[in-house]
Amino acid sequence: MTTTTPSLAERWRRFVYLETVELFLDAMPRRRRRAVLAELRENIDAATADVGLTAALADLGGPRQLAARYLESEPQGRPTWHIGTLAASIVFAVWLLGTVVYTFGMLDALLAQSQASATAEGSFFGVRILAEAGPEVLGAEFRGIAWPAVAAMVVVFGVFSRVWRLLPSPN
Amino acid sequence: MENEPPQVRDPQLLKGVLPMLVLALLEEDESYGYELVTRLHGAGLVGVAPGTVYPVLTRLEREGNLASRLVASDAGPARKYYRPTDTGRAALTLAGAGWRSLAAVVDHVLATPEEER
Repeated sequence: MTTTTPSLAERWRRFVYLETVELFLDAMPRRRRRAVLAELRENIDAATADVGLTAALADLGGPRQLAARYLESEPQGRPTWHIGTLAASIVFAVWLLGTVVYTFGMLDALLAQSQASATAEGSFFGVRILAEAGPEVLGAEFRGIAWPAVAAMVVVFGVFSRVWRLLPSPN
Repeated sequence: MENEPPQVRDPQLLKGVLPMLVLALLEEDESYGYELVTRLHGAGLVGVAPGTVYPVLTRLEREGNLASRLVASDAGPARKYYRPTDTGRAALTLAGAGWRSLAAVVDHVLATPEEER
Protein backbone atom coordinates (compact mmCIF):
# COMPACT_ATOMS: atom_id res chain seq x y z
CA MET A 1 0.00 0.00 0.00
CA THR A 2 1.29 3.48 -0.87
CA THR A 3 0.82 6.39 1.46
CA THR A 4 -0.26 9.70 -0.04
CA THR A 5 -1.18 12.94 1.66
CA PRO A 6 -4.95 13.47 1.34
CA SER A 7 -6.04 16.67 -0.37
CA LEU A 8 -8.03 19.31 1.47
CA ALA A 9 -11.17 18.25 -0.36
CA GLU A 10 -10.63 14.61 0.64
CA ARG A 11 -10.04 15.57 4.26
CA TRP A 12 -13.25 17.63 4.21
CA ARG A 13 -15.26 14.74 2.75
CA ARG A 14 -13.84 12.36 5.36
CA PHE A 15 -14.60 14.88 8.11
CA VAL A 16 -18.21 15.34 6.97
CA TYR A 17 -18.73 11.55 6.71
CA LEU A 18 -17.33 10.90 10.19
CA GLU A 19 -19.24 13.79 11.76
CA THR A 20 -22.47 12.41 10.29
CA VAL A 21 -21.69 8.93 11.63
CA GLU A 22 -20.97 10.46 15.03
CA LEU A 23 -24.31 12.28 15.03
CA PHE A 24 -26.20 9.04 14.40
CA LEU A 25 -24.10 7.20 16.99
CA ASP A 26 -25.48 9.55 19.62
CA ALA A 27 -27.10 6.66 21.50
CA MET A 28 -23.73 4.94 22.02
CA PRO A 29 -21.80 5.70 25.25
CA ARG A 30 -19.37 8.54 24.64
CA ARG A 31 -16.13 6.64 25.29
CA ARG A 32 -17.03 3.76 23.00
CA ARG A 33 -18.32 6.17 20.36
CA ARG A 34 -14.99 7.99 20.28
CA ALA A 35 -13.07 4.71 20.05
CA VAL A 36 -15.29 3.55 17.18
CA LEU A 37 -14.78 6.81 15.30
CA ALA A 38 -10.99 6.78 15.81
CA GLU A 39 -10.82 3.23 14.49
CA LEU A 40 -13.14 4.06 11.60
CA ARG A 41 -10.96 7.03 10.66
CA GLU A 42 -7.88 4.81 10.57
CA ASN A 43 -9.63 2.16 8.48
CA ILE A 44 -10.84 4.81 6.03
CA ASP A 45 -7.26 6.02 5.65
CA ALA A 46 -6.05 2.47 5.03
CA ALA A 47 -8.79 1.90 2.44
CA THR A 48 -8.10 5.28 0.83
CA ALA A 49 -4.44 4.35 0.33
CA ASP A 50 -5.66 1.16 -1.36
CA VAL A 51 -8.69 2.13 -3.46
CA GLY A 52 -9.13 5.89 -3.08
CA LEU A 53 -11.44 7.86 -0.82
CA THR A 54 -14.50 7.69 -3.05
CA ALA A 55 -14.45 3.89 -3.16
CA ALA A 56 -13.53 3.68 0.52
CA LEU A 57 -16.59 5.71 1.56
CA ALA A 58 -18.85 3.95 -0.94
CA ASP A 59 -17.80 0.58 0.50
CA LEU A 60 -18.80 1.75 3.97
CA GLY A 61 -22.28 2.68 2.85
CA GLY A 62 -24.29 5.67 4.02
CA PRO A 63 -23.17 7.12 7.39
CA ARG A 64 -26.63 6.73 8.89
CA GLN A 65 -26.83 3.08 7.85
CA LEU A 66 -23.32 2.41 9.15
CA ALA A 67 -24.22 3.96 12.51
CA ALA A 68 -27.40 1.84 12.59
CA ARG A 69 -25.32 -1.33 12.16
CA TYR A 70 -23.08 -0.29 15.04
CA LEU A 71 -26.14 0.39 17.21
CA GLU A 72 -27.93 -2.86 16.32
CA SER A 73 -26.11 -4.75 19.00
CA GLU A 74 -25.90 -2.04 21.67
CA PRO A 75 -27.24 -3.38 25.01
CA GLN A 76 -30.08 -0.91 25.43
CA GLY A 77 -31.38 2.28 23.93
CA ARG A 78 -29.95 5.50 25.31
CA PRO A 79 -31.25 9.04 24.83
CA THR A 80 -29.85 10.91 21.84
CA TRP A 81 -29.09 14.25 23.45
CA HIS A 82 -27.13 15.73 20.53
CA ILE A 83 -29.89 14.99 18.04
CA GLY A 84 -32.46 16.47 20.42
CA THR A 85 -30.35 19.62 20.86
CA LEU A 86 -29.94 19.96 17.10
CA ALA A 87 -33.69 19.59 16.53
CA ALA A 88 -34.55 22.12 19.25
CA SER A 89 -31.98 24.52 17.77
CA ILE A 90 -33.70 24.27 14.40
CA VAL A 91 -37.05 25.13 16.02
CA PHE A 92 -35.40 28.10 17.75
CA ALA A 93 -33.84 29.28 14.49
CA VAL A 94 -37.18 29.03 12.67
CA TRP A 95 -38.91 30.98 15.45
CA LEU A 96 -36.16 33.62 15.44
CA LEU A 97 -36.32 33.98 11.66
CA GLY A 98 -40.10 34.28 11.83
CA THR A 99 -39.84 37.00 14.48
CA VAL A 100 -37.31 38.94 12.41
CA VAL A 101 -39.40 38.67 9.24
CA TYR A 102 -42.57 39.72 11.13
CA THR A 103 -40.78 42.71 12.65
CA PHE A 104 -39.36 43.82 9.30
CA GLY A 105 -42.84 43.48 7.86
CA MET A 106 -44.22 45.82 10.54
CA LEU A 107 -41.46 48.36 9.93
CA ASP A 108 -41.94 48.19 6.18
CA ALA A 109 -45.66 48.76 6.55
CA LEU A 110 -45.05 51.79 8.81
CA LEU A 111 -42.60 53.31 6.35
CA ALA A 112 -44.94 52.75 3.45
CA GLN A 113 -48.02 54.31 5.01
CA SER A 114 -46.62 57.61 6.34
CA GLN A 115 -43.76 60.10 5.86
CA ALA A 116 -43.83 60.96 9.59
CA SER A 117 -42.67 58.76 12.44
CA ALA A 118 -45.20 56.16 13.44
CA THR A 119 -45.41 53.26 15.86
CA ALA A 120 -47.24 49.99 15.77
CA GLU A 121 -47.75 47.20 18.23
CA GLY A 122 -47.99 43.55 17.35
CA SER A 123 -47.52 40.10 18.76
CA PHE A 124 -45.71 37.04 17.44
CA PHE A 125 -45.97 33.74 19.33
CA GLY A 126 -46.37 35.47 22.69
CA VAL A 127 -43.73 38.18 22.16
CA ARG A 128 -45.08 41.75 22.08
CA ILE A 129 -43.36 43.85 19.41
CA LEU A 130 -43.39 47.64 19.48
CA ALA A 131 -42.11 48.92 16.14
CA GLU A 132 -41.27 52.55 15.36
CA ALA A 133 -40.32 53.83 11.92
CA GLY A 134 -39.78 57.26 10.40
CA PRO A 135 -37.27 59.59 8.75
CA GLU A 136 -35.09 59.76 11.88
CA VAL A 137 -35.86 56.48 13.60
CA LEU A 138 -36.07 52.80 12.82
CA GLY A 139 -36.32 50.26 15.62
CA ALA A 140 -38.28 47.66 17.48
CA GLU A 141 -38.73 46.70 21.11
CA PHE A 142 -39.52 43.16 22.23
CA ARG A 143 -41.31 42.25 25.44
CA GLY A 144 -42.44 38.99 26.97
CA ILE A 145 -41.51 35.36 26.49
CA ALA A 146 -42.51 33.31 23.49
CA TRP A 147 -44.06 30.51 25.55
CA PRO A 148 -45.48 28.61 22.56
CA ALA A 149 -42.02 28.56 20.96
CA VAL A 150 -40.42 27.51 24.27
CA ALA A 151 -42.98 24.71 24.63
CA ALA A 152 -42.35 23.60 21.04
CA MET A 153 -38.58 23.50 21.65
CA VAL A 154 -39.00 21.47 24.81
CA VAL A 155 -41.32 18.97 23.10
CA VAL A 156 -39.08 18.67 20.05
CA PHE A 157 -36.02 18.24 22.26
CA GLY A 158 -37.74 15.49 24.24
CA VAL A 159 -39.02 13.67 21.15
CA PHE A 160 -35.76 13.77 19.20
CA SER A 161 -33.68 12.96 22.30
CA ARG A 162 -35.96 9.97 22.91
CA VAL A 163 -35.99 11.04 26.55
CA TRP A 164 -38.33 8.13 27.45
CA ARG A 165 -35.28 5.86 27.20
CA LEU A 166 -34.29 7.19 30.61
CA LEU A 167 -37.16 5.20 32.07
CA PRO A 168 -36.28 1.74 33.38
CA SER A 169 -37.04 -1.04 30.93
CA PRO A 170 -40.07 -3.20 31.86
CA ASN A 171 -37.90 -6.30 31.29
CA MET B 1 -8.54 -20.79 -11.98
CA GLU B 2 -8.90 -24.20 -10.27
CA ASN B 3 -7.22 -22.90 -7.10
CA GLU B 4 -9.43 -19.80 -6.74
CA PRO B 5 -11.88 -20.07 -3.80
CA PRO B 6 -15.61 -20.03 -4.67
CA GLN B 7 -17.04 -16.54 -4.40
CA VAL B 8 -19.98 -15.81 -2.11
CA ARG B 9 -21.98 -12.64 -2.65
CA ASP B 10 -25.42 -13.23 -1.07
CA PRO B 11 -25.60 -10.69 1.76
CA GLN B 12 -28.15 -12.69 3.77
CA LEU B 13 -25.96 -15.78 3.73
CA LEU B 14 -22.92 -13.73 4.66
CA LYS B 15 -24.64 -11.96 7.55
CA GLY B 16 -25.26 -15.19 9.42
CA VAL B 17 -21.75 -16.62 9.11
CA LEU B 18 -19.70 -13.45 9.27
CA PRO B 19 -18.97 -13.44 13.04
CA MET B 20 -17.81 -17.05 12.85
CA LEU B 21 -15.57 -16.35 9.85
CA VAL B 22 -14.15 -13.23 11.49
CA LEU B 23 -13.20 -15.29 14.55
CA ALA B 24 -11.74 -18.02 12.35
CA LEU B 25 -9.50 -15.69 10.36
CA LEU B 26 -8.38 -13.76 13.44
CA GLU B 27 -7.56 -17.05 15.15
CA GLU B 28 -5.11 -17.75 12.31
CA ASP B 29 -3.54 -14.30 12.51
CA GLU B 30 -4.46 -11.02 14.15
CA SER B 31 -5.58 -8.16 11.88
CA TYR B 32 -6.92 -4.63 11.96
CA GLY B 33 -10.27 -3.80 10.38
CA TYR B 34 -9.43 -3.03 6.76
CA GLU B 35 -6.80 -5.75 6.58
CA LEU B 36 -9.40 -8.26 7.77
CA VAL B 37 -11.76 -7.11 5.00
CA THR B 38 -9.11 -7.77 2.36
CA ARG B 39 -8.45 -11.21 3.90
CA LEU B 40 -12.19 -12.01 3.75
CA HIS B 41 -12.27 -10.95 0.10
CA GLY B 42 -9.24 -13.11 -0.59
CA ALA B 43 -11.01 -16.06 0.98
CA GLY B 44 -13.87 -15.67 -1.51
CA LEU B 45 -16.27 -13.47 0.44
CA VAL B 46 -16.20 -10.73 -2.18
CA GLY B 47 -19.70 -9.55 -1.21
CA VAL B 48 -18.77 -8.55 2.33
CA ALA B 49 -18.47 -4.78 2.78
CA PRO B 50 -16.22 -2.98 5.26
CA GLY B 51 -19.32 -1.29 6.68
CA THR B 52 -20.57 -4.75 7.64
CA VAL B 53 -17.31 -6.05 9.10
CA TYR B 54 -16.38 -3.13 11.36
CA PRO B 55 -19.57 -3.25 13.49
CA VAL B 56 -19.10 -7.02 13.85
CA LEU B 57 -15.60 -6.45 15.24
CA THR B 58 -16.93 -3.87 17.71
CA ARG B 59 -19.70 -6.19 18.83
CA LEU B 60 -17.43 -9.22 19.23
CA GLU B 61 -15.01 -7.17 21.31
CA ARG B 62 -17.81 -5.83 23.50
CA GLU B 63 -19.09 -9.38 24.02
CA GLY B 64 -15.64 -10.51 25.13
CA ASN B 65 -14.95 -12.71 22.11
CA LEU B 66 -12.13 -10.51 20.83
CA ALA B 67 -9.25 -8.72 22.48
CA SER B 68 -7.48 -5.79 20.87
CA ARG B 69 -4.21 -3.93 21.04
CA LEU B 70 -3.08 -0.68 19.50
CA VAL B 71 -0.03 -0.71 17.25
CA ALA B 72 1.64 2.60 16.44
CA SER B 73 1.69 3.32 12.72
CA ASP B 74 4.24 5.44 10.85
CA ALA B 75 1.58 6.58 8.40
CA GLY B 76 -1.01 7.91 10.84
CA PRO B 77 -3.06 7.00 13.92
CA ALA B 78 -2.43 3.74 15.78
CA ARG B 79 -4.08 0.65 14.32
CA LYS B 80 -6.29 -1.59 16.39
CA TYR B 81 -5.41 -5.26 15.96
CA TYR B 82 -7.87 -7.97 17.01
CA ARG B 83 -7.39 -11.54 18.18
CA PRO B 84 -9.90 -14.01 19.71
CA THR B 85 -10.02 -14.48 23.45
CA ASP B 86 -10.55 -17.88 25.08
CA THR B 87 -14.27 -17.09 25.08
CA GLY B 88 -14.05 -16.27 21.40
CA ARG B 89 -12.27 -19.53 20.61
CA ALA B 90 -14.95 -21.46 22.46
CA ALA B 91 -17.64 -19.57 20.56
CA LEU B 92 -15.85 -20.34 17.29
CA THR B 93 -15.73 -24.07 18.09
CA LEU B 94 -19.43 -24.06 18.89
CA ALA B 95 -20.33 -22.06 15.81
CA GLY B 96 -18.21 -24.29 13.61
CA ALA B 97 -19.93 -27.41 14.91
CA GLY B 98 -23.32 -25.82 14.37
CA TRP B 99 -22.39 -24.82 10.84
CA ARG B 100 -21.16 -28.30 9.92
CA SER B 101 -24.39 -29.85 11.23
CA LEU B 102 -26.49 -27.37 9.26
CA ALA B 103 -24.40 -27.81 6.13
CA ALA B 104 -24.85 -31.60 6.33
CA VAL B 105 -28.63 -31.24 6.58
CA VAL B 106 -28.80 -28.71 3.75
CA ASP B 107 -26.61 -30.87 1.50
CA HIS B 108 -28.80 -33.88 2.26
CA VAL B 109 -32.06 -32.02 1.52
CA LEU B 110 -30.68 -30.58 -1.72
CA ALA B 111 -29.28 -33.89 -2.91
CA THR B 112 -32.12 -36.22 -1.95
CA PRO B 113 -35.73 -36.03 -3.22
CA GLU B 114 -38.26 -35.86 -0.34
CA GLU B 115 -39.80 -39.24 -0.98
CA GLU B 116 -36.42 -40.90 -0.60
CA ARG B 117 -35.46 -39.17 2.70
